Amino acid sequence: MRITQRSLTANSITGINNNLAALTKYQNQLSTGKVLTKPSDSPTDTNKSMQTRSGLVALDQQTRNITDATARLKQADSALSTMQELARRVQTLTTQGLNTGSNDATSSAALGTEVTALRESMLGIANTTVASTGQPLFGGVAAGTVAYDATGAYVGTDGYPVTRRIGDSESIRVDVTGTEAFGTTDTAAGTKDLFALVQGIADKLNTSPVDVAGLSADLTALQAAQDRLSSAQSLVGARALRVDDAAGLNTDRKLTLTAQLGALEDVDIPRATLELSAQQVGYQAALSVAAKALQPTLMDFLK
Amino acid sequence: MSALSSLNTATRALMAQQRALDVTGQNVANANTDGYSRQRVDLQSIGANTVPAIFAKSSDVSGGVSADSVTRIRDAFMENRALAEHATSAQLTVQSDAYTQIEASFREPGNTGLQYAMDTMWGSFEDVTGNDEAARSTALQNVATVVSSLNTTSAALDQQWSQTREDLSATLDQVNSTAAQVAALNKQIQAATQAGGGSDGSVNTLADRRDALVLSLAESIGATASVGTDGMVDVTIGGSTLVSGSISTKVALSGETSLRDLMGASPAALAVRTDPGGTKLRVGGTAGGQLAVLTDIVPEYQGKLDGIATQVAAALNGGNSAGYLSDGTAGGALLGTADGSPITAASIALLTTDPAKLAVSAVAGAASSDTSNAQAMAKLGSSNGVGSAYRTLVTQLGVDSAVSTQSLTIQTTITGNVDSARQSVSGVSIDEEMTQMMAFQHGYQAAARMITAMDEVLDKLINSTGRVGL
Repeated sequence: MRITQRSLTANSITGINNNLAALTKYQNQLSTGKVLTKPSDSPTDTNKSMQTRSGLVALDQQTRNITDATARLKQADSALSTMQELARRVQTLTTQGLNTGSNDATSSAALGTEVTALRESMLGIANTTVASTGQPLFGGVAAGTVAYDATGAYVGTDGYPVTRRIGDSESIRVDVTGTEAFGTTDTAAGTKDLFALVQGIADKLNTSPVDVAGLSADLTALQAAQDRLSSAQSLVGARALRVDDAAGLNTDRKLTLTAQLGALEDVDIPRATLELSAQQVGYQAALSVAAKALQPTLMDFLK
Repeated sequence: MSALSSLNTATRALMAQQRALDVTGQNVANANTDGYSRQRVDLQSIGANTVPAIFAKSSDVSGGVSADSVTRIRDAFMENRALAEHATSAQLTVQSDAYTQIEASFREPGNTGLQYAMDTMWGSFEDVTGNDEAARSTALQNVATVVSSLNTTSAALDQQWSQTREDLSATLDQVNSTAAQVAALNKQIQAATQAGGGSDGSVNTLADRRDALVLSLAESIGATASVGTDGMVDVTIGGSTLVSGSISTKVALSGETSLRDLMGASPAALAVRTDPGGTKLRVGGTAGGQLAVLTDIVPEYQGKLDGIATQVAAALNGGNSAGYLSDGTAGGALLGTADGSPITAASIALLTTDPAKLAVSAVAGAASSDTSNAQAMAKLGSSNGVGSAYRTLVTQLGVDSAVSTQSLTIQTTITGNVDSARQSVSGVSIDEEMTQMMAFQHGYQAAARMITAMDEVLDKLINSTGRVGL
């Protein structure tokens, strides 16, 4: 092959350009901190990176869901605890009424008044609203702001469980409806919910002479209602535990995915730095070779 | 053979060496001129009379040297290959640039692209946990973000298409003017050749200029050249003649003027055609690349993006129609187009700005605070496949772009090799020219010495003979 000065020059320029392009690549990687800035940098990594990013967005959403679920379950738990205490107090008063009520109309009426007041508190707690939305906590998916109206009748909407997604495929129920926690009133079946029951106890205590047999039956029914409360509360506790587990898992997965995204997109600084230095050496070599090769012609040696 | 004849031989020698030195000078002067082919003086000894006749007897020694023709040194095959490779290079450059631009329009991977907007939108339905206005507004706003992301990307592709169409028109204008120049140069070369211009360098210079223009035609439209008569070349594009001798024709772009028109037409009419004549041309080079961008690359990705828009709309509308508003009435479509036309990435729009129109509830016919349909809609993101369809799109774009860049890198090397092979034939080597210069210089000196010698001989003959006894 015949080599001319011009082809030497052209070759040198191509070589220097290639070196400079490689140098720029590493310089770009180091200055942006990213190896993956557009899909063509690595189509497979792009796919993985997009999946990982999707996963991270989903995890962020699940974190918010978990926060909301925890708040609701905690609220339900504390409401149910209070309710238990009040029910215990009613139980105590009823037992007292059974012992003394038949003897002394005045004291039994006093007991009746306290029970009535306790029922009011119970209704107030049953109408607790969810802080974030203003909906009744025990009203199912009721449209209004209360689960029980002033007379103590249930006005919630049952049959539509409120769920929160706490994992990719795990949803958990976060509500307890009034009927589940406090029972239902059904005159045909002869069942009463907690509030009707307490109302009945108050009414019986206020009546003289006290209906001892009725009161005693109510006491048994109250025990059943308390059991219902306990089981509702333990259900809430169990769900809260699952949500807690999910929260831990969520945090772990977020760390894993973040690390994965970093491995896909972020520059490996030591490697890039070494490559950069190697390219710099190459570039300088290309320059110095060009400087030496392009200089002499026969003219330098002709006199 | 006479003494005067020897003088004549020496004079011819002087002139020939002088001419060779001239050409060497020209070569050195153009050592760095782009497209210049080195020239060589074809020195030829003037032989004896080759046709023997009774009274025309050859002398023993010939009549000196002639330097009649100056030839351009170039390899015709290599030149043709250079045309083809330069055309391919130009085409791949345009395509690779187009892919890079499309990648920029999609803004992936990152938190500014469609994927993030979609993920956030699906997730935000889960934030709707009751009858509070704020969460619904946020969810609807996130739907609007997805819509605007689709619109923006689509508009960027539209703009790229229009820009490329303008670029192609400009390329063709340039092709037409270059073709006219080639035809004009062909005419001058023909005239010069017929007038015997082969003996001086003028034709060569014209031919160099013309060949550089032909190369630029190859780059812009993938033209090929074939040698015609009288030193002219004919230029063709995909088999159709662009320049025939001293006559050039024109090419023009005709067909759809917008991306949407082109995507609606079947088959698309957009093509480069001869003007007049209207014959469809198979173009290469820059124009070929631009045409591929216009008819294949951008429509392909716009079409895929339309598909994503349709899928998103179908999923959201299906989800929202399956649910009920908080007052118990059935939900309706959320996404559509302003005029009811089929949904595309450009025309997709939010049909309502009222957050109450989100059918978050699953309770039919009664007011409720249920949000279980919102929870169900949130799951659509992972279940209906729009996310994975979009990832496939982006990955495909990455593969196409990477392949295109890779092809360009390879092609650049090939083109470089062909260019350096051409250069090795036609390029000026200064060392070689210096050597030639010395040779011709010595030749000139020798011829001059010859004249001096003859001068002395004649001097002796004229002034010193016949003077016996003087």
